[in-house]
Amino acid sequence: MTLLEARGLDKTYRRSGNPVRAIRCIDLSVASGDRLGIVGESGSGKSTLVRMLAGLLEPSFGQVLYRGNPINGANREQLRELRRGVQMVFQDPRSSLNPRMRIGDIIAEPLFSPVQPRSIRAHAVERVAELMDLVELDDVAPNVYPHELSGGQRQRVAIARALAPAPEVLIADEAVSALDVSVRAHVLNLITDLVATQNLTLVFVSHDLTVVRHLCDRMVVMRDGVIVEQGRTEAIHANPTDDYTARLLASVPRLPGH
Amino acid sequence: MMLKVDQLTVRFGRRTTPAISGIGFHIDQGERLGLIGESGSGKSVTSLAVMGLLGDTARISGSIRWKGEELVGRSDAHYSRLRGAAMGMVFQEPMTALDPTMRCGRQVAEVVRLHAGADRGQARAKVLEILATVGLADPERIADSYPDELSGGQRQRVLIAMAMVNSPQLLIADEPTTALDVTVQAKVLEELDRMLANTGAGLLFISHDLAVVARMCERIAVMYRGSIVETGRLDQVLGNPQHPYTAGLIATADITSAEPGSRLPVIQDFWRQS
Repeated sequence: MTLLEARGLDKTYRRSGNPVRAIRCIDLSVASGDRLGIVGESGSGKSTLVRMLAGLLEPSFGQVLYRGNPINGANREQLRELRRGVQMVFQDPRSSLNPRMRIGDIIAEPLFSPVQPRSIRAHAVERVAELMDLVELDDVAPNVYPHELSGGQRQRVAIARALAPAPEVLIADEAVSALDVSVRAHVLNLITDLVATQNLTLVFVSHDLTVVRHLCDRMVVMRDGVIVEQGRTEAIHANPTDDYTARLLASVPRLPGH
Repeated sequence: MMLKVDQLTVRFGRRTTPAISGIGFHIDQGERLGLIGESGSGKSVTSLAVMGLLGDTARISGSIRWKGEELVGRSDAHYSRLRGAAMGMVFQEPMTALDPTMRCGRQVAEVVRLHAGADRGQARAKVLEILATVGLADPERIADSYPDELSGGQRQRVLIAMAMVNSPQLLIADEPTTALDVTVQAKVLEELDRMLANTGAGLLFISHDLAVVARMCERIAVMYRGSIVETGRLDQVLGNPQHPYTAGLIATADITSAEPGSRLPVIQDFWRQS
């Protein structure tokens, strides 16, 4: 079933007074169980697109549908469902986590949102422990602050927070780009496991095609606000039809002999 | 020997555990050494120590020799004649390394005038020339722009221009492309490669990304928790790593060799820290 759908999505920002059309008439659909990669350079519009899919940003034109219902003009009940069901993880956990909150409170925060039933709040402490276990932070105390953790641990906190309301869709926007290469492998393994065990639908945004190839079965390539290529990840890797995709592939640094 | 570092140990404040301990490496004229390690391994402390930029809270012991002359314990005034002239440095975050209130051209010109003693007109010509050399298409416009008006790749090129404008004999680059997109990274590395080849400058290249280091350097030193655990020629280290930590770094560096969706190797498969 189609969970998220973009129809004729268009977004124009104003930058120092001048209009910048970040997204141009994009159609896209994400079905339950999809692992969709969105690839492009900075400024290609990929973050703008997923923010609109998550309902965090209003499109200038076009519509986003969640479970068949348009989210602009949705009633409160439907918006609640979207806020709970679609969660995001951002690139830099140093800026996406509140430095003045303890990590246990950060992870628990979505549980205290008015969209959650009261019964969940009563069991928040257990739920936080369960979530920290899930993201392999079981050796970290919930009363520490984000700055006491490493970059990889901070990103695990961000993932635990995103999973707290038991979402259907996890949108990760460059979630491993700020991490050391050696830490990246841990977080990618975690995301792979979570997608399987939590039945998540994954939308993974990255400028690195090798990461997308590892995680996603389907991908779209964006450039200047439009989709220039889409299809099965393996097929695009083996035979990119767009020059830009080929260039993205060739740019990934590789070890000699690999 | 151009740069020779021996038994270098750095401690900060009252902390008893050193940030780096007993580091040693050398770079000859035109040689390129890659220093690889994870966040917190002491790579940046090493580069800042070589540049004499550690500040007052650092206690340094050991030796850093530049063409035979000992630099440890020398005054900042002495260092500042070397920095920007004999040694250039490129940092990771161009947004914080550049002054946001000053046009880019003036920032590059400052380095020229400080060391080469050029007048305003000569400096401007030299600035435009170097901006073109680092692959910036419209040097006039870039020179007249403020840092926030440029893209990440353009800002990083301005920093490289600043580091290279006085034709240093050694360039120290600390994660110069980590904040960039892969396509921009590929171009910046290519330009850096070409400039170093043209000027014959040596390179100390610092990164957590083995694939990037391999692209730029013929020798590498692997840092782990403040020490160098392995040094050698790139092909030797990649082909036959001596330390299990290095083997772990190699295994995690290239995810394309793993089957999509399969479990990726991690450092801990090879090496567990005590």
